[in-house]
Amino acid sequence: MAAREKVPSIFGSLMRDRILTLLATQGSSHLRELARIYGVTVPLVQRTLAQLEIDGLVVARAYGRTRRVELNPRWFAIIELRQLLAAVAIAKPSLYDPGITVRSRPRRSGKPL
Amino acid sequence: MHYAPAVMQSLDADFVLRFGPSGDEHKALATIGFVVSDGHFFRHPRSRFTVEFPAGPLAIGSELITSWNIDRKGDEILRVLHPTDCVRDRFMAYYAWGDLSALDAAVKVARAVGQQFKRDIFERWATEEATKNNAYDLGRVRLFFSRLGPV
Repeated sequence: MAAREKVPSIFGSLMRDRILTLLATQGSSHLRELARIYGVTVPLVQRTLAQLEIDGLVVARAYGRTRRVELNPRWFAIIELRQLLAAVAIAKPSLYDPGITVRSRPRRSGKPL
Repeated sequence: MHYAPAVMQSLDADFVLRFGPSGDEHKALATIGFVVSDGHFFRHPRSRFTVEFPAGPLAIGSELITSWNIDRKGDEILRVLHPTDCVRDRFMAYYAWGDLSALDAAVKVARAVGQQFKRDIFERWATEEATKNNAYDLGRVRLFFSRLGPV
């Protein structure tokens, strides 16, 4: 049996690669949405986001009771990070592809989902 | 969707129309079984689609749409966006809101209509929108073309 090939990560782990690429392509997200998109546990996403926040790459803003996370616009190399993530998204669409299942555009109130 | 029915449908149909005095659309749609729901849109017991009449004008980004396709089936006439405008309309939801499902739909419609999708028109429009409004990121246009590939 062939040994499982280890896919090298760019930002330290597959989960970090996924979250950063999704935030770069989608703009923002939140804890439970990320867990649902990637089919992983909330604590795994929570740990990954916490570390990304400590590293300064990601910030969270409160919208009512939801904390939406996005790339930190004040990070010192945000322009270069966005350029790198844009290139990563083009080269590895599988990192953000699961996000296409989620509708994030507004819907007029009262309309069915 | 008109051009790519297999693509995920939003299950709503928007028509930019001008009616007479307020309430005319209610009367007209009532004759074919539609009832108003929540004051904004109409439902029919035998249709999964909701129908809405946005205020208009018909525009994609800052560009007003002044021409469209006319499809005829017997006595029925349907006025729909040009294929490239349909792709632009789907893409706009990604450009403005980061909605990846809309990006995916835009790519699928562009593939479905093949040569009817005018790449140069799309690219020129997307660039102009980004020039006028710095909220729009040209990286999203590049991502669209990378997903689309050669058509």
